[in-house]
Amino acid sequence: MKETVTEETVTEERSKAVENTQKGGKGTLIAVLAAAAVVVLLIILAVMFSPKPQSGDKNITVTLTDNNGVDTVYEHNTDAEYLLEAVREIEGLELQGEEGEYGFFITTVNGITADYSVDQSYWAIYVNGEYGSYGIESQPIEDEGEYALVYERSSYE
Amino acid sequence: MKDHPMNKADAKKYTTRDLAELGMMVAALEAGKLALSSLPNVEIVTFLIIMFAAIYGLKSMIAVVVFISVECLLWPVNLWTIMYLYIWPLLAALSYLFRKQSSVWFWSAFSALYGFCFGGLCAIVYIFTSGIQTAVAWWIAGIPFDLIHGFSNCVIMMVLYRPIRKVFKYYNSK
Repeated sequence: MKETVTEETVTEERSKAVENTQKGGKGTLIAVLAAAAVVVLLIILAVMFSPKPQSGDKNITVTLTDNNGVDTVYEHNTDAEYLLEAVREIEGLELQGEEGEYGFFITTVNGITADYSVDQSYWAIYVNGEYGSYGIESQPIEDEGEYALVYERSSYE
Repeated sequence: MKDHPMNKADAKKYTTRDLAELGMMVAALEAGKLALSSLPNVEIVTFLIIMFAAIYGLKSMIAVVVFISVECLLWPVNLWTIMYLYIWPLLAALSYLFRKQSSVWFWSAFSALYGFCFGGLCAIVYIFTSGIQTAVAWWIAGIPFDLIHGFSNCVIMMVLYRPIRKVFKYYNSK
């Protein structure tokens, strides 16, 4: 009786294994092809839709909103292509930060330090009124563009 | 209280062993997340959830829910908390759906795909908070990170799938 059960179990498991391998074959092919297709699609999207830097003379506005919500507006003329470079050229705007995993990370602006680990505060970047999707180092600037560095705290306290 | 239908059903469904396994799953998810948190776009949570769902079945969904709850307790509740609410259960559900698959290539491709789509799935929240334009811009900006995420998921699965599956299967069949 014991032997029959074992044999049956073995046979059952073997047929299951065969079934799995067959299903695995087709499923694997589809999964690999899908992954490859998505990689290609993502690369095309990233290349096509990432904002491109503009060369030449540009007039930009940079607004600094400090920890008391006070705005200081800087008008600036620049040949720089990315925001970090342009901000560094502005007199009266002192920027400090560190090279992080995702590029340049702003820690201090005009002596005001934001530290997320202390009070969930950080320096946010706004581009034409919208929350920026790029770091300051990789944010391309455009003529008549409006940029803002805003001291923010996460709503959670 | 003893005759309550819920109690009966629960008693049948979950044993002490199940509870211990759930605890281990949540601990592994938390520890795994914390251990690799310093490496950007490299994480082992995807791998663990796939393995739990594919081998332990629907039980893993409870582990995922507890994991998300622990995350909510540990970290400030933020936008990504909302993302977690659907991203990890969706991963567990999909992995459960494909549980019959046993090819390392299938799971490597699957986990890569999930990494590639991660930003896109997260961006859904931004559609509701900041509008479709911001969501798309945010997604596009993050594509390089999604690519790293997908490739690292793939490598982790390729290296760990066979040994971990063997161990999980061994203990699950006992």
